[in-house]
Amino acid sequence: MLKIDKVLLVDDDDYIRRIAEIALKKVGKWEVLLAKSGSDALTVAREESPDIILLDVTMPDLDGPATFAKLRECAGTASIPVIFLTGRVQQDELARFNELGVNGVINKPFDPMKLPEQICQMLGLEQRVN
Amino acid sequence: MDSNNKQTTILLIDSDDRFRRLIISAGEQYASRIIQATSLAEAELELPFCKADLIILDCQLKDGDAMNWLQAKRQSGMNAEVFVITNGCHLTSDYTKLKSELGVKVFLHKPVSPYILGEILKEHFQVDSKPSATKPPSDGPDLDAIEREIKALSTEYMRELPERFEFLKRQVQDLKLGRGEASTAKNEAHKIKGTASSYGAHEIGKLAVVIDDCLRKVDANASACDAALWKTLEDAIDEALRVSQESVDQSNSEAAVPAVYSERQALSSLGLSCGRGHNIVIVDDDPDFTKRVSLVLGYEDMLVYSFNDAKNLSAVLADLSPDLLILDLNMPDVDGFEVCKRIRLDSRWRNLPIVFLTAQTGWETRVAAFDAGADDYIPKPVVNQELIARIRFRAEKSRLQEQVQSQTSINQLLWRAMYMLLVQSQATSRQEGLSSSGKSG
Repeated sequence: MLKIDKVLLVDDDDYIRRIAEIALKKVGKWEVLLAKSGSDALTVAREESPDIILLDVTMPDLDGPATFAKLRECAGTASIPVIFLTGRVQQDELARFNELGVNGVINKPFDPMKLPEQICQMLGLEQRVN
Repeated sequence: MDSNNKQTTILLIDSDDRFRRLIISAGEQYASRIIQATSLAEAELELPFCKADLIILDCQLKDGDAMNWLQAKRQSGMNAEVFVITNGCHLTSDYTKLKSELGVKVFLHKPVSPYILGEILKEHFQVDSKPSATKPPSDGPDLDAIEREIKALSTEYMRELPERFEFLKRQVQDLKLGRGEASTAKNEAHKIKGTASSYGAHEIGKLAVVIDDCLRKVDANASACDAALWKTLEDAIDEALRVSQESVDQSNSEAAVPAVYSERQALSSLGLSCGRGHNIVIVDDDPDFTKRVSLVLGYEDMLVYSFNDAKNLSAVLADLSPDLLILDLNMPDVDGFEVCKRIRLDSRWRNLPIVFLTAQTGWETRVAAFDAGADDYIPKPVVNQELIARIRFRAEKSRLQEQVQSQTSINQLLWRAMYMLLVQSQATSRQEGLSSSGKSG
C-alpha cells in the first residue's frame, strides 16, 4: 500500500515551486524535495527515492514527458508514481499523457490548499492527517 | 492570554483611512485597544477618557499644528508614549524638536512598509506571544497560517507581474516588426498562465490564456498573423498590465500586516536574514524626489527618513545611526560636498556609506564627489532597480563590515584575556617555584 512521506516537485517556475512547496509541506505534511529541471529531477529521484513525483510538462531542455521516460528506464525510479503538472488543457494532449502511463495529470492553475487532497484522490489514497 | 499582559490602549490620530486600517490590523495581533481620531479636535474629545498608553500621531492634520498640540499636551502633564508617523516633518529641526523636546519615542516617515511597522509595534507592545502560538500544534495544519503565508507569497508574485507584462509588451512590439524570437515571449506567457491563477489572480490568469494562445500562433507563423490577432494580443497585454499594476497599488495601500509579517517572521525564525530593514537617511531639497526614493526603497522594506534640509543633520544622524546616507548635491543653502566633508570629519561617521544622487553628471563632479568622501555616485534620473541594487549593496556591505569589525574586536579581547591568564599563571608558577625552592633550600 502506497504511503506518501516524501514528494519530489519538479518545475522550472520559482513561484510554482514555492507555492506548491508550502501546500505540500504545510497542508499535506509531507517532506518536499525540489528540482528545477528534468535532469535535476533524475538525480534527486535516484538519490532520494521519493514516494511520488510531481512533474511539470513544459520545461526547457528535458521536458516532462522526456523526464518521465528516463525515470521509467532506470530500475531505481521505474515504479515511482508520477503526476504531471500542466498548463495545457487540450484533450488530445491529456490523452497522450495518459497513454504514456503517468498516474495522473493536474492542471495548472491549481488551488494550493487542495493540492495534497487532489494528489491523494488521484492515487486512491486517503489523506493522512498528522 | 497571560493575565500579566496588560492591554495596551492606543490613541491613533491620523486622517488617512488606509494607514489607520494598517495600524489596526497590526494592533489586533497584539490584542491592543485602538481608539481612532481623524483630527486633533476628535483626539481632544477622546484623550481625557481613553487613558492612552500610546499615541500614534500624524503631524499632517487639517485642523491644526500637531507639534504645537503635542507641546501643549506635554506642558499640561500628558505623559503617554508618543510615536509620530507622518508624511510631514521633513525639516531636520522638526525631527530634533520632536525627539529631544517633546519626548517622541519613535519617529517614522511614511510610507512605512507593513513589515517594518509590524516589527516596531511588536517591540513596543510588550506582548511576546506569536499570533498562531495559541493553537495547539497537534490540531492538524494551521490553515489560517498557511493561507497567510500563501497570501504573502502571492503579494510578492503580484509585484513582479507588471514588469513581466512590460517585458512581454516590448517583445511583442519587436515581433511585430519582425525582430526577435517568439518562443521567449511564448514561454513567459505560458509560465504566467500556469502560475497566476494558482496565486488567486484569476483575471490575469485568463488574460494570460489569451496571450499564450496568440503567441502560439505567432510562434507557428508570424507572417500569417493578421492585424486582428496582433490587436487581440496587444490589448490583452495592456489589460493585464493595467490589472496587475492596479493590484500592486492596492496591495501597497492595504497590505495586511499579518501576512507579510508572518512570512518575515518565518524567515527570521529559520535564522535567515532577508537582507532588508536598513535604516536610510535621504537629504534632498526636492520633496517630490525624496518622496519617490522613499517609496521605492520603502517598498524594499528599508526604513527611509527623508529630510529637505541639512541644518541639524549631525543631530539626526546621531539619533538615527543610519546604515546609509543619500545626499543631494545642490541644495539652496548648502553644498552637498560640504555636508559630506563635514560628516566625514566626525569619527562616528567615518565608515557611514554616503551616496550622492544628483542631476550633475560631469566627470569633474563625479571626481569631486569621491574627493569629498562619498562612496558612490548615482546620476539622476535613475531607474528604480538600479537605485535599489546600489543602495542595498552599499548598506549590506557596510553591515557586514561592521560585523567583521565587532568580531575582530571580540577576538582581540579574547586574545588579550588569554594572554593575561598566561602571564598570571606564569607569575603564579614562578612564585610557587620560588616558594617551593625556598622550602627545600
